[in-house]
Amino acid sequence: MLIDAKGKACPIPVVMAKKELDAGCDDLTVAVDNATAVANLTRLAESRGLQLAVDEQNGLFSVRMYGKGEAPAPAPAASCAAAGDGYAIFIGKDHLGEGDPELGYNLLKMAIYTLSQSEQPPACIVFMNSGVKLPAGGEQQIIDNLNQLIARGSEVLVCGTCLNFYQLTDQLKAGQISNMYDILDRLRLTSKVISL
Amino acid sequence: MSGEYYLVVFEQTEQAILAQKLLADLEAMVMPTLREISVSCGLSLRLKPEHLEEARRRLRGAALSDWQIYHISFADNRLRCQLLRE
Repeated sequence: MLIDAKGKACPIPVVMAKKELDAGCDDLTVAVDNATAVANLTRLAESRGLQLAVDEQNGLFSVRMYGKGEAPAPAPAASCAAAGDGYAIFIGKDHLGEGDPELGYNLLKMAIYTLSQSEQPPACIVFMNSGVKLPAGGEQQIIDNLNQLIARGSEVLVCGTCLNFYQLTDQLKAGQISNMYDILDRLRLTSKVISL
Repeated sequence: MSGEYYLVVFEQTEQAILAQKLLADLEAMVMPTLREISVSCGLSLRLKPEHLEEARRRLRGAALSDWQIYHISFADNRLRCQLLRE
């Protein structure tokens, strides 16, 4: 089956693909026109244990998912459980607390540093809304600290819709572009979510 | 991230934020003041040893008030914080 999802913004291509897969389709090709959609479709295929083939021509992508697949989401569960004690950090803005924005930004930067030094790093860190400005910004300390966390097993998931909104998709320097499905799955699979 | 480093601690958070801008190109890293130095929630700047003297020169030149520098090291699995004399 072929789905034409060109011109559709995140997460519509994934929604369309997921609907067909849930209906039993075992050989699906989705045509999209942006890298975020490819990344999200790739993650969808991986989470279902499907074979994947991606083809690009003149900025248009063809993502084929096929095979029998496996039960969805065992991989995320395992990867979350493997890092630290299975807690998640949710960062939905580019500052911590309310008050002076510069102080709030520095507090958040300090919190990410402290997490990177923690003996028990989080299983995953989720960035949404203006929070995506941190992994896609120019602050080297934050990028370094996030990459240290990734090296220690933390997953860093960055909302693709939000990156797109702030026109930062090509600026992402740490973590992976994700979507609402994966993000909510990760949060559900951890035993505790700390919202900063 | 392990190994020795220097930590600039401040009495006032505003001074720390100002100093961070002053030392931005020296890779000064913002971190919480170590509990071994102060039990309050402070904002400190972590410096690589090679940037100590330049950082000290700038801090003095900017006439920032109430800052101190500690040498932080690890020995026998213990953290050691030594205040530098100005």
